[in-house]
Parts: sequence; C-alpha cells; structure tokens
Amino acid sequence: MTKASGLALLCALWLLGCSSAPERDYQITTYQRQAAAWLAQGDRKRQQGAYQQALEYYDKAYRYASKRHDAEQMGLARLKQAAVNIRQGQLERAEQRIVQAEVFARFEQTELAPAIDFMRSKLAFKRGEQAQALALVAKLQTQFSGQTEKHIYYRWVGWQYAPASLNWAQAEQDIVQLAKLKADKSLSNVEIQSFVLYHNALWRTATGQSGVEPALDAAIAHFASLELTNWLVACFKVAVQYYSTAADAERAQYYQTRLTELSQTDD
Amino acid sequence: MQHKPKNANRIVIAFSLTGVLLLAAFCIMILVNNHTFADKVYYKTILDNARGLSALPAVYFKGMEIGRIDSYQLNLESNDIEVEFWVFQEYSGKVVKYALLTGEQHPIFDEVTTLDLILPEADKVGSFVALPSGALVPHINSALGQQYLAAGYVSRSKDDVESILASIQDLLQNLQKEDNPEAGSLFRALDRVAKISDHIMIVSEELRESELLPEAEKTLKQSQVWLAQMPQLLSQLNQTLRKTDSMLTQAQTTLVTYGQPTELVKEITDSQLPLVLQNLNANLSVMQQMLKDVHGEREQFVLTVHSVQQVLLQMEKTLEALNNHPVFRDGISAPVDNEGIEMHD
Repeated sequence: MTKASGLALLCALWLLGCSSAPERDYQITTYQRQAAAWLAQGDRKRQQGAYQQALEYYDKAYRYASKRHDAEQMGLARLKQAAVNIRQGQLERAEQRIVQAEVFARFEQTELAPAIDFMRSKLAFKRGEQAQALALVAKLQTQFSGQTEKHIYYRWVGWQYAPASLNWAQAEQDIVQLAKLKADKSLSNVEIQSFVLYHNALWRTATGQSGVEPALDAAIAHFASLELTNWLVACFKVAVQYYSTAADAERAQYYQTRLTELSQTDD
Repeated sequence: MQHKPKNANRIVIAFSLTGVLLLAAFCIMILVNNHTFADKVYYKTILDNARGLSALPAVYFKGMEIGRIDSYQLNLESNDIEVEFWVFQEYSGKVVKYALLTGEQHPIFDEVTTLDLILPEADKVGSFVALPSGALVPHINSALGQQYLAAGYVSRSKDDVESILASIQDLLQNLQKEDNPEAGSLFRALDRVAKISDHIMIVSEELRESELLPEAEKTLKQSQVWLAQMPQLLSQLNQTLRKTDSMLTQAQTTLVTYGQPTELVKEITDSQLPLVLQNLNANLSVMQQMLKDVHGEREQFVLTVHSVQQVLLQMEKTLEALNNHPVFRDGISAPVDNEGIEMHD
C-alpha cells in the first residue's frame, strides 16, 4: 500500500516536472508540408506505374517548394521528374530537368549532389554510355559506404548496369541485411527493398540460378504487402516464365490466371 | 483514629488551601471575564427571532466589543422577542437616539448572531443625544428601524456577501446583453451562429418554396421541345416561302404575316416562347434574391472563418504541447522527411 502510494506520488511529481509547454517555433511550414505531401503522392503514383500523374504531382510539389524557395525540395522534385522521363524514354526532357536541379545545387546550400549524380548515371546508361554510368555509381557506392541501405542499393544498380559483375553470395547477404533492417524498423526507404527483391527474382530466372522459387515468393509477398498491383503483375510474368520452363505447368497456369485477372481489372 | 486538623500533615493543609485558592481565583477570573464587575448600562431591543441568542452574543461597535446580550424572553402577546442587553459604561455615550442594532448570522454556523450598533448620520440628526438606561434601541428590521432607514437617519453599510452576489448578477446580465461591445461576447458568438443558421434555413426554405429545381427542369424540357420543333418550324418556314414564291395571288396574305414579326414568332413557337421567358425571368429573380442573401451574410462568414482559424491555431498549439510532452511524444509520429532519390523503377 505504502509502496503503491509512494510510486503514485513519484509518478505525479515526475509528470509535474516534465514541462509540456509548447516550445516556441517561429517557422511556418505550410508550403513545405504541402510540397512533401505532393512528393510522397508522386512517389506512390510512380510506384503504381501512373507516370503521367506522378509527373503532375511532382510539378505541384515543385510549385509549393518554389513558393517557399526550398531549393532542396525543388531540386528533388525536378530529379524525380527526370527519373520518370528516363523511364518513359524522354531523354531530352530528363536532361533539362537534371540541369535545373544542377542550377539549384550550384547556387544554393543543398545536398542534391548525390541525387544528381545518380540521375546522370541513369541517363548515361539509357544513352548507352555504360562506362560513365558505372563510374558514377561506383562513386556513389564509396560515398555511401557508411550507409548500408544506400550502399546496397547502388551496388545492385551497378549490377543492373553490368550484369556480368553480379556476385550471388554478396546478393544473398544484401537481401538478408535489408530484411534485418526492415525487421528493426530502420529501413528508411522501402523502395530499395522492392528494387532488390524484384531484381533478385528476375535475374535468378534470367540466368537460371537456383533459389528462384523462394525469391519469387518473397517478391510477391513484398509487393502484396505494399499493394503495388503493377509490380505483382510483373512478378507473375516472371513466375509464368519460370514455371513454364521448369515444367510445372499447373503452377504456370495458376500464375497465368492471376496475371490475366489482374491485367483485366487494371484495364 | 480521629482526624484532627492541627495534627494533620501540613502538606495536606497546603494542598487543600491551594485547591480552595485556585477555585476562588478561577471563579474570579470567570466573573471578570463575564464583565460581572464592570459598570454597565442596560438597554432593550425587540427582535423577531431568538435564534442564536442562547449563546448571549456580544454587541459590537465598529468591530469593538462594547456589550453583550443579557437576557431575552418571548412576549406572549405580541410574539416578539424582548431582549435586554448591556453596554459598558464607557461606551454608553454611543447608544444615542436614532442608533440602530443590526444582527448578522454567521454564514456557516447560522446560530451565532452578532449585534452591531450603527450610529445615525450626524448631518441628518444633528448632535447626538445619548439614550437613558433602559431605553429601546430599535433593531434594523423592526418597523421603527425601517422608518429610520427610510428617513435616511441611518445608512446601512454594504454587506460583503450581498455585494458579491450583486457582482455575479451584474456579470450574468452583462453576458446576456447582446450589443454590449465589452461584455457578452460568448452569447454574441452563439447569437451569431444562431443567426447564420437562421439565414441558412431561410435560404434553403426559399429554395424549396421557389421550386427552382423543378422549374428549371421544366424550362429545360420546354427549351428541348422547342429546339426539337426547330427543324419542323424551318420546314414550315420553307413551305411558307415556297408558297410565297409559287402563289403570287397569296402575296398579300404572306406580306401581312411577315409584317407582324411578333405574331410570326408566336405562331411558329406555338405561343411557348413567352412562357419560357417568363419562367426564366421568375427563376432569375429568385436566384438574385438568394445571391443577395448570401452576399448580405458574407461578413458573418468571414467571422466564422476567423473563429475557425483561431480554434485551429489553438488545436495546433495543443498538439504541439502534446508533441513536446515526454510521455506522449512517442505516440505522435513525426513528419517523414524526403526519402532521397533511390527508387525502384
């Protein structure tokens, strides 16, 4: 009894001691929040494959960031647009957007340099300048050697540019490490895991590596948890291809049915 | 063994003596305390209630104890309480003509009544005339006391509790006042909300009563019918023209028809056009009235929006406070930063 009341008293004193008075904050972040929200919406649309909408949302993000003169967000919006443009094959437009971001990086205090390098490498790879693309990615790898998540990502991008250099032992380690980060809730960008898991399944199928089935299952479970139907469809395509060659006709048929069903609902 | 005082132990005598002396001392103290030995002057007063008198309360003058109730009894004929009280000789000069007694009940122990002596106003009654011993000092609630009060001989000092109650009364009245710019803001805000809702009701009622929607639908239908008739009308016109062209004998009639364009319109629209225009006109006037109403209420809307903004500001501060609280902070997720450019595509 005495102990409980003593504890209650201590708790009350502690709560009293903790000031909950609002800390003065003189910043207004309305535009910043709007820009961030539009960027996030754009990211979601890009992941869902709605590229036109993603471009529009990034444009809105740019407008709000511009009202605040937030060079970092403006540059990021332009670079994300550039990524979509590269994906759509509009390389000239992508070049323009990257140049715009470079202007911000030049005249303002920003941390856009790595992002610009990455976009430059993507653009170079798309233009067939593999050496330049690989050099930029290698630079990024060393730059982010302290950050596991980004380091893994740029390693895998490097393998995407030069499939011959792919190291499966390293790849397996990377997957385990990302899964661990996710379990610890310290994975900050889940898109990196998406990239790794999808390409793991894709490359294993393409190169005839073992362990395709768990890789496919992991990728499907991952995209299902993110509700990214378009990437589920992509995984099902890989699955159909794999199970057809592996002579598991029933499973191939099953994935084919799922594929047709999802393709129809998408239309 | 027989008890003999002279043989008794001296200590026993000393004890007994001490006891007797102490008893005497206490008795004297009590008597002194009761002012038994003081010189007193006795007066009378009449009360209508004896509650609290059993404790024989003191009589005060400006907070000084100047006397005490001595006895009281019920007059069986008049049902009044006849009270006898005394005042110290030195203060008897204060018991003057037109002086009044007021009784106050204790706010918590309502039994104890203190009696206060109030002097009359010097400028109203002239020089004070001391009352002789045994004279009646009226109580403020008695008929005579009220008479003195009414005549202004005596002014009653403000009661503390009474003044608090009066202030609360004032406050409540202020709150209820509608057009008081200093006070009544709460009720004004409520009143404003009520007014807005009244206007909204009126507007919606007018909308309903005016049957604008069915009317508009009807108008559209009529226009549709009219438009559908257009080709027919055109062909009629064409026919008429052909007739004009072919039958020169009917030229006169045709000319007359063309000479009266309003009649022509009436004829070719089957007398529907004026009806359509009339409906349209009526609807427009209703619409105009509605817009006028909305326009008239714009300031109210501005005020409402302003209030909402204030509330949101307060809410933001509250959330900020919660955010800063070490216990609840973890429950509120921080906004996500931009995640960088790494992407899956």
